[in-house]
Amino acid sequence: MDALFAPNHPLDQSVAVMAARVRDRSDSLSAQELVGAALARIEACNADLHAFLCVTPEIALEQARAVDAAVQAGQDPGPLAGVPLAVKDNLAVPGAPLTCASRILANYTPPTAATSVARAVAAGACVVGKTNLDEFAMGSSTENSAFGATRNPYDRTRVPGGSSGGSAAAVAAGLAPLALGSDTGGSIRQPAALCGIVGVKPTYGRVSRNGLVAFASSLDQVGPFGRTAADARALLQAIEGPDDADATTRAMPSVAASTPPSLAGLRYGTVREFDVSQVPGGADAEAAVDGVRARLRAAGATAVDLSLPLVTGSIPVYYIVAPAEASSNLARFDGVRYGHRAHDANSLESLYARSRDEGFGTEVKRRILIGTFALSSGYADAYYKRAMAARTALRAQFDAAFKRCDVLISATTPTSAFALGEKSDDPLAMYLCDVLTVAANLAGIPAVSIPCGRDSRGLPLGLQLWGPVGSEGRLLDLAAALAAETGLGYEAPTGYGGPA
Amino acid sequence: MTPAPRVLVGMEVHLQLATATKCFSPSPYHFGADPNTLIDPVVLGLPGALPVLNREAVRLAIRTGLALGAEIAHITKWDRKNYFYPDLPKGYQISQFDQPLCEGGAVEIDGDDGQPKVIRIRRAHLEEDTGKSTHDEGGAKSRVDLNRAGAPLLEIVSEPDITSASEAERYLDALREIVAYVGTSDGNMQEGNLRCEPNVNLVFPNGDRTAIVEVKNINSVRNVGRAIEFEIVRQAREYAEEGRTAENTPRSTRGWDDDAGATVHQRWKESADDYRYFPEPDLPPLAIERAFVERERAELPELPRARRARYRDVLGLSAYDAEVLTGDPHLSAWFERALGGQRDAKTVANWVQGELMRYLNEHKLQLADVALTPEGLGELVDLQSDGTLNARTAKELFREVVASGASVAALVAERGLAQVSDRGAVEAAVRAAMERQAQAVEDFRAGNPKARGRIFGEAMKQLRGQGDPRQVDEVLNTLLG
Amino acid sequence: MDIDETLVRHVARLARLELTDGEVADMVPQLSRIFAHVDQVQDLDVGDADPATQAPVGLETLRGDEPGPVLGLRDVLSNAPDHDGAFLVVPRFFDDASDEG
Repeated sequence: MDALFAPNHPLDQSVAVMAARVRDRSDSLSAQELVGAALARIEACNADLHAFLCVTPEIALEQARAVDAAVQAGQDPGPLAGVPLAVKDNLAVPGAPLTCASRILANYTPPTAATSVARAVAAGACVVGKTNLDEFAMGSSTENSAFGATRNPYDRTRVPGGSSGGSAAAVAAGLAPLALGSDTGGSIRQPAALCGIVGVKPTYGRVSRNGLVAFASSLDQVGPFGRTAADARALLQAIEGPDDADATTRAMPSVAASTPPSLAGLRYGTVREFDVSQVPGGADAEAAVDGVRARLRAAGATAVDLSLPLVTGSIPVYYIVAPAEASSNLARFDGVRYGHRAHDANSLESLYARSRDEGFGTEVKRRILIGTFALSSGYADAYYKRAMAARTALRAQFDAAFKRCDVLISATTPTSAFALGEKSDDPLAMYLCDVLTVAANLAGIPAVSIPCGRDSRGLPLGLQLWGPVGSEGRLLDLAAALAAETGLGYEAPTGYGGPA
Repeated sequence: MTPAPRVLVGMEVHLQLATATKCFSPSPYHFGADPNTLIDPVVLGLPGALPVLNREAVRLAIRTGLALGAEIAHITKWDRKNYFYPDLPKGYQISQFDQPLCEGGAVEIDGDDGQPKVIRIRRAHLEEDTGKSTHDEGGAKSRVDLNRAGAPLLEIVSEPDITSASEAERYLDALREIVAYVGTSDGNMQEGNLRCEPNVNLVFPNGDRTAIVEVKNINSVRNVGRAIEFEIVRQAREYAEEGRTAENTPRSTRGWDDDAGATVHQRWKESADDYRYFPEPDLPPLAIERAFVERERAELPELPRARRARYRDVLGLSAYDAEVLTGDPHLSAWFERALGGQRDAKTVANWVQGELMRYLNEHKLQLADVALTPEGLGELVDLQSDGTLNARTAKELFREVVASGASVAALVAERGLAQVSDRGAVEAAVRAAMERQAQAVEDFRAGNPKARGRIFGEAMKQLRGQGDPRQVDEVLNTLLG
Repeated sequence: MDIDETLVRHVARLARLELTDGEVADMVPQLSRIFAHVDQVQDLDVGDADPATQAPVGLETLRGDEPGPVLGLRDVLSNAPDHDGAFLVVPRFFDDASDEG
């Protein structure tokens, strides 16, 4: 293990440095070495963490050879040259299985790449494997995986959060410097917080969803994980931008770094409904964020107190809209064209009903039932339409808030990582984990989770920055400035890698 | 004896639009390809594949809507219609629920009383087609071909204004003719470009009405009529014998069995049919600018029924000629160009229906195969009507240029084919003929009128066939005294 | 919203999920608790807000009618549980089930 996580290991440098070294012909570091090192770390640690469902050495090494060949030929292999990339297993990588951590897709291999994956690879990234998730991204702990839970690298008896728990754990443990995830109600930010790294939920429409297996189409966004804001930005910059294959993508200002903002004069909003100090176990999280707020004020920022009353309804609204869309999106898993087919089905109806019953896990079935009901005749107006109207009203409240302040600051999660199995039998308790994150998806606005120290048990906490549509570049600028001001940031878990 | 009921028929027509690619993906579509070869990840409903709307499908749908006199929506959107079926790869069809692209409009037909009758259109919306299945006869398997899945369909729903089988047939003929004119669909029922499901029920004088029956799987216009006729008899009998009405019988779907000449019960439409429509989140709503709509409207051709009336009432053509010349949009367009806006319609119509049709029939050709342009025919007509060509030369020239496409005027100049109309030259020719046919002149003057033809023929020969027969006739009269 | 076994079975049928009796029995209390929470949407003050939609786009943003690549037959069938030649295969069904909801 020592050599794998030696001090000053190239994998523990910033993405900018590692890519620059690969691109520098006079530097001996090659993409193949970097990828080889990441594969070795995965080999050593994955049995323990179960962050990866599938490791893809052939794909990664072929991509690394192409990067090295480009460098040798004097061509630019891109800003992510040779950087190992972990990909959540609900994004298509051609030649690798795409399971969504579901039995129904256990044997499925996609013919084409997700746009986000293709763009990251075009920028020089090398896909080292597919990471674990809650089945079809439905969950907040990565325990709802048909292939076993992922463990939190800071405490292997605890969850990494979810649903992109495999990606978050892989980056936190230094198995890959970058990872792609998807965020429908917090599935990037919540595990980023619980694993002490940076995760970005982009503005809806910034990143193509083409090749992302849909959970809830109007809420899903692909986004990056990195150990720092700069690393996450580098990946987001590579994958952002309109895509002809996704009609919901929109042109918006790039997230490319601008001049770091001055904290003096910054107006930050504190939303009363996001205060978790009174939530059981939430005191530490709110105190950590309060500490940052105090530093901001000391640096000359102005506090703005706000109320967004509809935020209190965001969980009910989310748990109508997301399952409704999911019930439709998951209809294609019917055992006809791909995926699991029940062996003994002798009629079309039994083929459908049994294949789906055998293929889907309990949480997925639960959400399909909720969503089917919310859209069904006689109930759609009271549930689906009502929830969608609440989204419009919620957006209006955020719009009004961003007229009064530049950014909202809150905790990312009410508590740090909980124990494996702690909430498995209580779906509602699991749903409430998303209380601080779902509103950004409902409103379509960007939010970034950054490390915010440890709680009393020594587990990572996250701070969330929320901004108006298209502002994630500024949120990342601010994240970098905050890290510089407070000294808060990624700290490698014991036994794994980390910056020297 | 039950008194005769009123027949109510509403038509649901699915029209496949003539695009190169599918409605929501760039996969090509055409009829008759090998199974499962016109498929991309979107069509196959692969995980992560997203629909992207085809602009041309929207344009053709708008164009069709305008031809039907529909209102085109300012904002339209697509919705998911959720149901499970092997032909439906995603488990939902992308369709339009409450904001269709087109609303209102009408198709005018000849009613059973011979008077014009308006069949109102309720709405027309753009959706995707399904794939096709074939089934083992008595076997255990069904086979699925998804080539057709995702092809653009315009579903055109009429009000129940049709009151007989023959009106239903004329409605379909009129609709097919309109889409052929505006070029938005091939409208071929055999190839399934146009599919039609009549909704039939009866209303009795006492107010009783039968439950609406939707008839599926009909593959020709004639069979739509037969199916409706069958339903009228069947529903009337069930009402009379069993007292079946909409009160005590649910709506149902029946299939047309061509061999049996009968409709066969398929299923009851339960109130539990629940498609769980909701707005398609993968496609933003579409705003349609009025400038685009007006541009499309301006580019619409004259529609067949209006053109037929104009040919009769303004151009003075016979009803038969008007019918023939407007029956095929290509022929009609050809005729319009040959007419050039000012030529004599009857003359041009005679050429088109006479020489041109004869030529096409003799050689088993399509209009598109003809080398002669309509403008070329117009030129020929002009040269004849200004006296440059006589009828015989004009016909000879036609037979040549119809195949070669050469310019008539150029040939006339090159070969000196212009008709001799110089009176001096005609007189000289007639005098020469009278000398050569002195016996005939004698016979004629002796009272044999038939002898005149020999002199006339000789005069035309002297003029090498290029004399104007009327002028030769007149000069001969003068000189024979 | 009162959730009972009849409702769960009805919704499961719409969703083509063949739940076991045990699954149905488990779902009733779980969904009851979830809906007790979700029913809060009825109390939210949403004013006269319309259901959320994305901003409309214009015709110029739509795809042109140029054919793109198709999947080879091998890719179409490679993940299929059953096929016969070029056709996907399912147990024999009758077309009269068409567009049943």
